[in-house]
Amino acid sequence: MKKIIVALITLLSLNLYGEVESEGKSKKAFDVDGNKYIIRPLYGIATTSDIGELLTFQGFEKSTNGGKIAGVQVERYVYKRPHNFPINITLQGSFITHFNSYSGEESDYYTNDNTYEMNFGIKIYWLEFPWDKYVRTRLGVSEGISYTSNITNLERENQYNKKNSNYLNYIDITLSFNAKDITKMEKLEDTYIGMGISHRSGIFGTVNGVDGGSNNVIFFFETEL
Amino acid sequence: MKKLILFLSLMVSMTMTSFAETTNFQLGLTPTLNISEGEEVNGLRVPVFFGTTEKVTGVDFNIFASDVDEFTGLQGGIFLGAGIFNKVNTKFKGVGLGLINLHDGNGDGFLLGAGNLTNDFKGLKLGIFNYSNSNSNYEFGLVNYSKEVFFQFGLLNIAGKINGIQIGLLNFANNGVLPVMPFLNFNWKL
Repeated sequence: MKKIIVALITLLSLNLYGEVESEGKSKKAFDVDGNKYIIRPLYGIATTSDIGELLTFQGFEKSTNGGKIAGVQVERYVYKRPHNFPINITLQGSFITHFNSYSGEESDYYTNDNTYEMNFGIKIYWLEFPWDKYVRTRLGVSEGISYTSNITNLERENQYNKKNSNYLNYIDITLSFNAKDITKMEKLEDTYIGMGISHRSGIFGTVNGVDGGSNNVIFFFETEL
Repeated sequence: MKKLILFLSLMVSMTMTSFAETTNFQLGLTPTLNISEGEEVNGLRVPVFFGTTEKVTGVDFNIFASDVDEFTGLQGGIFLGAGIFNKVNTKFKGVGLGLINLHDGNGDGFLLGAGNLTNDFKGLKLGIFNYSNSNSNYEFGLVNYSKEVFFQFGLLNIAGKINGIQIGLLNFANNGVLPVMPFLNFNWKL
């Protein structure tokens, strides 16, 4: 508890959310109007296909022992449409749990039980599409760091007899559609539904010598607060 | 832990005592806190977490994200030599290396990044996605999208007005030979 109190005092002393003088100037980071947070519960399916194959719809191979993920992502808006560019910028944190169809037998080592993943990064959303008058769409790409408590089955399989690491680079790509525009329900104005890719990798050996990684295809809804 | 608290206290106290109009080094911790505070930096600036300042001439070594009004020099950072997020609000001159480069106002020089979003930019932009709100000279990327541009080379090129040539798989330009052309499009009055 002492550590938490010290951390909070330190954050306050760093004046992270201090008074912002934005009159007549461009707004500083974190000084945004309207909703400040995005909450995104997600469910995902582990795949052995690489990110290029998934993005170009050339393949979607499920992992051999049916890996899955579930979790929640929380984002804090940093800028909304800065200088009228059709983008939003957020800071993203994720907590994800990995599981699979583990048989429970002693000989089955391929379990994801007690494997948790935490990610932190920056995310940029593109907000302008030709069909926006029918359904508002946003495409998000995040970049950050990722930590898993154990090496996941998917990465053990992908990196068989090669280097693995708990810490890797993290990218997620999401495409989401406004739920109000789809359902015509007013209450869903700030809610989006969509799908994407959650990707961990060593950027071709740049991070901890890992040349490979893992991908999960995710499905989610996201709402703003 | 005591040492950490002592160090942080020292840093915070430094910000209260070392204010100057111009400084040679600045550590920009947060949007509202700079160590060695000053409106203008001539030398090295290390923005950490959306560190904000008015004018920088020299080198920006970005740890995470940076926000500056006017910049002249080299912007780089911790991610393979590039900054993760570089934001320039009014004027830029020099070389910018960033995962995302977001520039308003006028720019002049070279930008390398996954996403380069600029207003009026004279020079070369090299990235996966290049976007311009106004006029842009040279854009090389997978997708290039500009209101007005001289030269685009990429898979998909989109321009409101092309003053020169587009080379790519699909080229969109309102004043091109045709509004949509495969492989090559250019200003008919070139």
